[in-house]
Amino acid sequence: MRARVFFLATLTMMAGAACRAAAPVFLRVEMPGVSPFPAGSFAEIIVTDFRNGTTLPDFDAGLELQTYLAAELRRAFDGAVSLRSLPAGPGIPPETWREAAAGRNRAVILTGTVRFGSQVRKAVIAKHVPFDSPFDLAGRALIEQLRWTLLVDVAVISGDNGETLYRQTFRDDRDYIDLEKPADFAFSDCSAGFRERLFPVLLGSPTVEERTLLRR
Amino acid sequence: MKRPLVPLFLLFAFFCSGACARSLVITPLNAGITAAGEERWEEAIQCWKKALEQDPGSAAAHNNLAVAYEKRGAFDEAGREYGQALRLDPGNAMIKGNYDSFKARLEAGQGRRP
Repeated sequence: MRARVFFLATLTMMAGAACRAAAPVFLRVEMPGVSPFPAGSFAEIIVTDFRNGTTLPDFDAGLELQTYLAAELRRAFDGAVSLRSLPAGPGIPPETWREAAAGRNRAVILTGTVRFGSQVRKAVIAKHVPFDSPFDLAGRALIEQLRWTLLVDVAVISGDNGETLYRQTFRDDRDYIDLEKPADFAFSDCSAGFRERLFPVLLGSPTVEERTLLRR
Repeated sequence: MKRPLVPLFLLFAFFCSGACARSLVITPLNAGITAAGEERWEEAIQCWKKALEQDPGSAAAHNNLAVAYEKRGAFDEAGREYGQALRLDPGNAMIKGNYDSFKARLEAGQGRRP
């Protein structure tokens, strides 16, 4: 009897191990950056104040983004990084960009429009209450979250000819339980998310990605 | 009381081991995964190509090969392999997840037409 139990246990363990060996494999892989800019194609980045598409009291998202990007680029980019106050948005003639980059060697201009705003989101959730509780018979509760959204329409413009080399819209959402979360704290979180996606594109730096390998 | 359960349990264990036995064998697919886990991606590519020679209809091999091509920076080949994997197994959420992440990176990198 004991031998039979032992045999069955071994068989079950083997079957379990075999099934686990068929499970997919989750990997974190360092992938090369996908960049439209060949390495060394520009030696200087001019960061403009982004056109502010929203009005928040005591908070200029355009200026904040310019300051933040310039500081982060100085850390990550080997070439020069400078700040300029220039008009942003669509319809700017190429001459404006050429003039802004006059006398500079292989410069690109980082410009665009930024929108930063918040909204309170509400949801009804199921609430776990004891069966014998006399309260909250419906077993539901209303929760509120504050969502801050950063939307950046970014453009990279050649300083040599004023042509737009790259244009993309990036969006970053952050949810907070604290409904009084100040704009500058939320902006710091959102802009870090934006930087994480912009820099690999701009500088061609690798990113760590999650992928699944399959066994069958 | 316990006696009738024993043959039933035996039968269950037999079917379980039968269904999963193939994964215990070192196939090119598994060898590639081992190589990729140890950062030997070129070797992994060779293994998965061999897996495809043995079974051209393997969505898993196409998916894995796509990941390896992405790692190599061969984005056109990666896109082709992901497409092939999804054609063979359209309902596979893991292949779809890989492909969506790949596409999002590519789109962000290429930007939209000015």
